[in-house]
Amino acid sequence: MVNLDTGIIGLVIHFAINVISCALITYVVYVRRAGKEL
Amino acid sequence: MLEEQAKSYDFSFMMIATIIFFLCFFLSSVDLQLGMALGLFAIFGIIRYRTDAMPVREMTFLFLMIALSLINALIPLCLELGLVNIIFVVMPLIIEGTRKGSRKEFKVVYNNIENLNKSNRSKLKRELQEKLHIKIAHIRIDKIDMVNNKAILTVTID
Repeated sequence: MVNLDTGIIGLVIHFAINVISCALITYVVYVRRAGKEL
Repeated sequence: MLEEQAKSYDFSFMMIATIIFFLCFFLSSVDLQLGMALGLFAIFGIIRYRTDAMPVREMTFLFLMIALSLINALIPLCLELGLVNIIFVVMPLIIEGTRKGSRKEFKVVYNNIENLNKSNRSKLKRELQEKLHIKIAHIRIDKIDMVNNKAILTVTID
C-alpha cells in the first residue's frame, strides 16, 4: 500500500522530515515561547 | 500562558501532524479523492476541537502542523520541499522572536494604603516584588477602601 513513487525509503525520509519540522515548531517555537511568558 | 499549559498542546500537535501525514501519504495511493478524505477528517476531528475553547494562537499552530504534514506527505522529495519546511519553521520563529512578550495582569488586595502615596510608589513596587518574587512592570490602583484600610491593585508583569 506504500506509494509506489516513493517506496518505503521515501516514506521514511518524508516522515523524518515531517517529524523534525513539527518537533522544531512545537518545542522550539511554541513551548519555549509559552515558558517565557510567565 | 504557562509552560505546563503549553505542554498540554504539544502532544496534540505532534499526534495530529503524524496522523495527517500518514492519512495523506496512504490516501494519495488509494483511488479516493483526497478532498473527501480531508473533509471527513475535518468533520470528525477538527470540529471536535471547537467544543473546548482553544486559543487563536494554538489554533494557528494546529493549522501550521496540518498544512506542513499535508505538504510533506504529498509533494515528492525535492529542493522545494526542504525550502517549504525551512520556511514553516523559520517564519514562526522570527515572528515569535520579534513579538514582545504579552504582559500578564493580576489583581492584588493590598492592606497598607500609606504606600499608595505617589512618593512611596517605589517602596510599594519593591515590597510587592520581594513578596511575590516577580518583576513588576506597572502597578495600577483600582479601588481604595478607606474603612478597611485596603486597596485593590492591578499588577502588570513582564
